[in-house]
Amino acid sequence: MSETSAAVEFRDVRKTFGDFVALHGLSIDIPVGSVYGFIGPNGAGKTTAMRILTGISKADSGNVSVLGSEELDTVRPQIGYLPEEKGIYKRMRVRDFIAYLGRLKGMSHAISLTAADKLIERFKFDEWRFERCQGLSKGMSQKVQLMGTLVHDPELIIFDEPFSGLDPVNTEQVRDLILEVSESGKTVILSTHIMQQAEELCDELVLLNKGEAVVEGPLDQIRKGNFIKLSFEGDSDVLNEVEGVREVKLLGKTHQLELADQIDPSDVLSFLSSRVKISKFDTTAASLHDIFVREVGGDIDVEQEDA
Amino acid sequence: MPSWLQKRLLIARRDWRETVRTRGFWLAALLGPVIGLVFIVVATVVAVSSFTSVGRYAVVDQSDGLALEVEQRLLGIDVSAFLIELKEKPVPDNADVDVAILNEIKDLFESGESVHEVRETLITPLRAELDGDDSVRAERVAEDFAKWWKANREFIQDFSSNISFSKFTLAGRVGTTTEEQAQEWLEQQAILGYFIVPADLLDREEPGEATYVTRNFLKDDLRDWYRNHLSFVVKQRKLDLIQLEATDAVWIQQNVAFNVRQVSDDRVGGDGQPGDASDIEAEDFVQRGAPIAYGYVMWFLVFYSTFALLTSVVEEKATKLVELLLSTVTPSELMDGKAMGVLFVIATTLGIWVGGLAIIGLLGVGVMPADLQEQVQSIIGAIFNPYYIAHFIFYLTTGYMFFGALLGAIGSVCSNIREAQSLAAPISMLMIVPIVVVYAVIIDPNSLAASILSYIPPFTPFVMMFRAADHPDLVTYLLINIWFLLWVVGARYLSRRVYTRGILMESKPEGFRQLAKLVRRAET
Repeated sequence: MSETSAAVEFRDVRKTFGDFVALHGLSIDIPVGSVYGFIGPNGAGKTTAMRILTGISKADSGNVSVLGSEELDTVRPQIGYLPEEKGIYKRMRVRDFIAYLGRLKGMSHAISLTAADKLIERFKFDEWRFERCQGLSKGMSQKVQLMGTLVHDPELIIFDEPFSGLDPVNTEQVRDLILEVSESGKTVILSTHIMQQAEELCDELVLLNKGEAVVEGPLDQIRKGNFIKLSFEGDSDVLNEVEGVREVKLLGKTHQLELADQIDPSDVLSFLSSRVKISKFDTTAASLHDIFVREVGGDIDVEQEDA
Repeated sequence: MPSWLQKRLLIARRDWRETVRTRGFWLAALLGPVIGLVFIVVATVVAVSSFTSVGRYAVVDQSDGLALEVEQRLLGIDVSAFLIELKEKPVPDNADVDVAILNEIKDLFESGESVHEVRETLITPLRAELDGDDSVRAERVAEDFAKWWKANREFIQDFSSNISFSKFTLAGRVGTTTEEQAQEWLEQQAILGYFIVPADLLDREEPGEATYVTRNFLKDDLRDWYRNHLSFVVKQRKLDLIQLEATDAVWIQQNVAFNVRQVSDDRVGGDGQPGDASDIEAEDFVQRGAPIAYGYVMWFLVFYSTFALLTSVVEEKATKLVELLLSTVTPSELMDGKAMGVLFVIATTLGIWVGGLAIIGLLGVGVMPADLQEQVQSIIGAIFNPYYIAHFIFYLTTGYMFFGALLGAIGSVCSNIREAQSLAAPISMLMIVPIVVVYAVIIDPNSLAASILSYIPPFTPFVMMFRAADHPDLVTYLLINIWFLLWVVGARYLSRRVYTRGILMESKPEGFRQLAKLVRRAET
């Protein structure tokens, strides 16, 4: 790896498919050992960016450096990739499938089997070790694919929509795994459209829209802002009378107020409590959902899975 | 092992193992030859039964007895053919047939009489019956033979291979059939056709022409057969008219006999030196026929394996595995690995077939009499000629690479088998053409048609295999193969460009125009 602290560097990366611009001069740095999120609506360019950094696709222009090298073919063995579209060889046995992916990454037969066995034990999958993949449920298949992604102990792990199709129990397991991998010093790139997952897991992220990075940086900086969420009984017109309110949004039965930086939320509480009956009052930083909606705006129908 | 080969072999081995572990593979590998054998046996039986099924015909005789003379001639030939075989063979022990008369005839031969003499003795009552003359009296043995001949036609056909009534028999009594009657029989499909023998066939100034009326003018074996015999009878009449001696007439009409020999070819083997002429033996027929069998087996394997490759590519794409694989290997490695995997499956299939044949051969040869063993061994040697085997391996591999490249590219742009089959239909048709035109190549491997077909890349491997027994001169041969190899390399290059981009495509293919676009924009 190079001396730089970035595991991945994109410099003015552009990619088109015919007339469609998938990436419009994307420039990002992904720090070593971080969990980095790619978020954005469908068609924003997340998968294209991931395909470029795994070497599946090539950028039309710009520079891409992965693990300190611009020769992506040479660093492929150090990358683990779990694509959004997850496939499996149904007739292969679980252990053989995981070991096969390890061998394609350059492991010897014996070492790949040992590594597969370790992962099977770690994922508590012993019962299905010698079963054919066709007998597994969707969640179990996804776990096998996850093991295949990790079998060669990669430095950089890329998860494209890793939670899609998983039940809550498996979602929790995958979430824990991502954190565990991150704690071991590996770099994790996570593409998701579930904002809640991104908030929980990512240290940094980029919000892509129409092939451009509209927001990029550490999560706490991105979320910085002055917000109130409240529920009350009474005329909602009263919210227009509150001083220093930039925007009011109705989120179900809850109103969200974005305040100017100098406004103290307790002053707002005092003002409103004399006029309406408040049942809930909460000061909170901007959620990724809000940021997503704010930045992407009316371009898309916002996915509600993070609500 | 070089790294460029390692991943390809890994992919190939996985695909090979997955295929050979299926029941379908073993069923195809084991039942394939059995089905092939059944097909050959059934086809042979059908061909033979069609040949031996008796066709009926009628003759409307407007002449002064030419039709009768034809029937007399046929009778004479049949009796001669039967007697020749009876003289050579022992009298069969047949419970259903009274063979006493045959033993009597054998005694005549043993007393020194020739076939011709015996025939002239025996045939008198049969001829008289044809003439409708019941006043003729013959020897007792001739009367018995005439009765026996009429009663045992099936036995006669089985005993003697060249009996005319085993192929064609006359409907009605000779000289009595009217054109209306013949027409009615033809409409009822009771006869294959009928002949009209005109009165003026012997006219010196303006000879008339005979007529053949049939429902199926493409089936010309009856027409040709009857024409030969009628022509002979007419010629005989003409010779009589000019009062030529009978022996002179026979001498004049005698066809030139040919002794067919072949020139040995150093490429395909043979007893003599290259250029020497030698007699044609059973193994020579096998040697000429073996490339045809090789060609058909090769065609089947190329067809089967390239469509297996197409299915494999489409399935990998449909199950969304391909993106995971492409994060590890390059599209070229994946494509080559899959192609090699199918090639290993072909090699395994061939291994099973050859192994099975070897076991059957060893077991069979072990129980054969020594002289038959020698003959079978020389036939096996003719089939497993190293020259043919080299051709087979070369054209099977290159043919597979050529069509595999085309179908692999098509598979890469399709999301499901139905789309792939639709897009691959023109390729399937191209592959079927050599099988359709193969007859012309087999009959004359160096004909203009065969030469032209050899240069058309989709046909080259099959046509050249069919031509292996008698292929063109070395320069032409090399030119054809270099030309084809260039096409194989080109096809694989273009295919790789399509595959690289098409394998990650999700939209439905728009046809060959889209493939051309992908070739132009191959960089992903």
